[in-house]
Amino acid sequence: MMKKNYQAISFILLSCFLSGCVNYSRDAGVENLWRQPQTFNNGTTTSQQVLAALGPPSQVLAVGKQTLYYYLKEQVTREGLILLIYNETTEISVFDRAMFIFNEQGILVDYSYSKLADKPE
Amino acid sequence: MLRQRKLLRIISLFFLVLLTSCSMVKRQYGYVATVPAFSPKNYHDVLTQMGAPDSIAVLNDAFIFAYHSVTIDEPQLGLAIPSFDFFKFTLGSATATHNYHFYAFSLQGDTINLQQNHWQNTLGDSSSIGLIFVVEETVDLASFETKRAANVWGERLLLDINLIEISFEEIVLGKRLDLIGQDY
Repeated sequence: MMKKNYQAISFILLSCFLSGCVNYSRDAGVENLWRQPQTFNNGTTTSQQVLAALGPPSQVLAVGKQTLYYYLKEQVTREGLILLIYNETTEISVFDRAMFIFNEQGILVDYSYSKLADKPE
Repeated sequence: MLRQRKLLRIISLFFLVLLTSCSMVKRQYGYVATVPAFSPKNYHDVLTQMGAPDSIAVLNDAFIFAYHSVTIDEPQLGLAIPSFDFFKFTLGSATATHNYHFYAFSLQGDTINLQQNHWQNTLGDSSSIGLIFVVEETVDLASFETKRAANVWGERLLLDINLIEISFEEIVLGKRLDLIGQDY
């Protein structure tokens, strides 16, 4: 009788731990070179220096008399755990961004990078 | 006594089979940093506190920074026929939680309006039939999976000038309302 119970429990536990994993990631957009050590200074750095350091921006926009360079890298990761009694997948899309604003003379007025999450919300 | 045990076993096995298809699908698009409340005087303050925005819109006499993140939870309950659980029928529903920050500035860069909002909306209920060991999506999220506008901006500008709806000059000179960045 005890042996049958052990067999039943073992079967249930084995069934629970029969599992599969899913994992993939993909990127889109420009390379996020702004995350590497860079030296940009408001009032002195020029648009040419930003272009030389980061390459062509994803988008360019005029804001009044100022010019805005917008860089975007999209990173998507998906992880999944597939068990017999429970499955879970989590997909996280991170939009890593950098933005530079230049005046009419092409001098950097202000710039900013997107804040990165330490862990998913 | 023996009959009760047998019945208990059958019921246990039945529920074990029913449980095989419970799933949780989670998605997160973007991230809005949690920052202490602040009163920005101009866009420099916003960039310092919030970082680069998700989207930027330019109007005739103002421009807007928008920060937007969406978290989607899609719990699913799968039902399988005992002793024929190769196929499963899955019921699912999804809820999106939005976190949205909006800042409007004059062309001189001074803050003229700001708003922060946090809300939830249901993305619908649906069902699917799939094979066991497969996590099926039961809610259509195609609008969240399109290419980001920023990543096809240059490509669109290479279209024949006679075929495109908006000229490059109009966009760059800000002659029209244009939204750049993420568009979910």
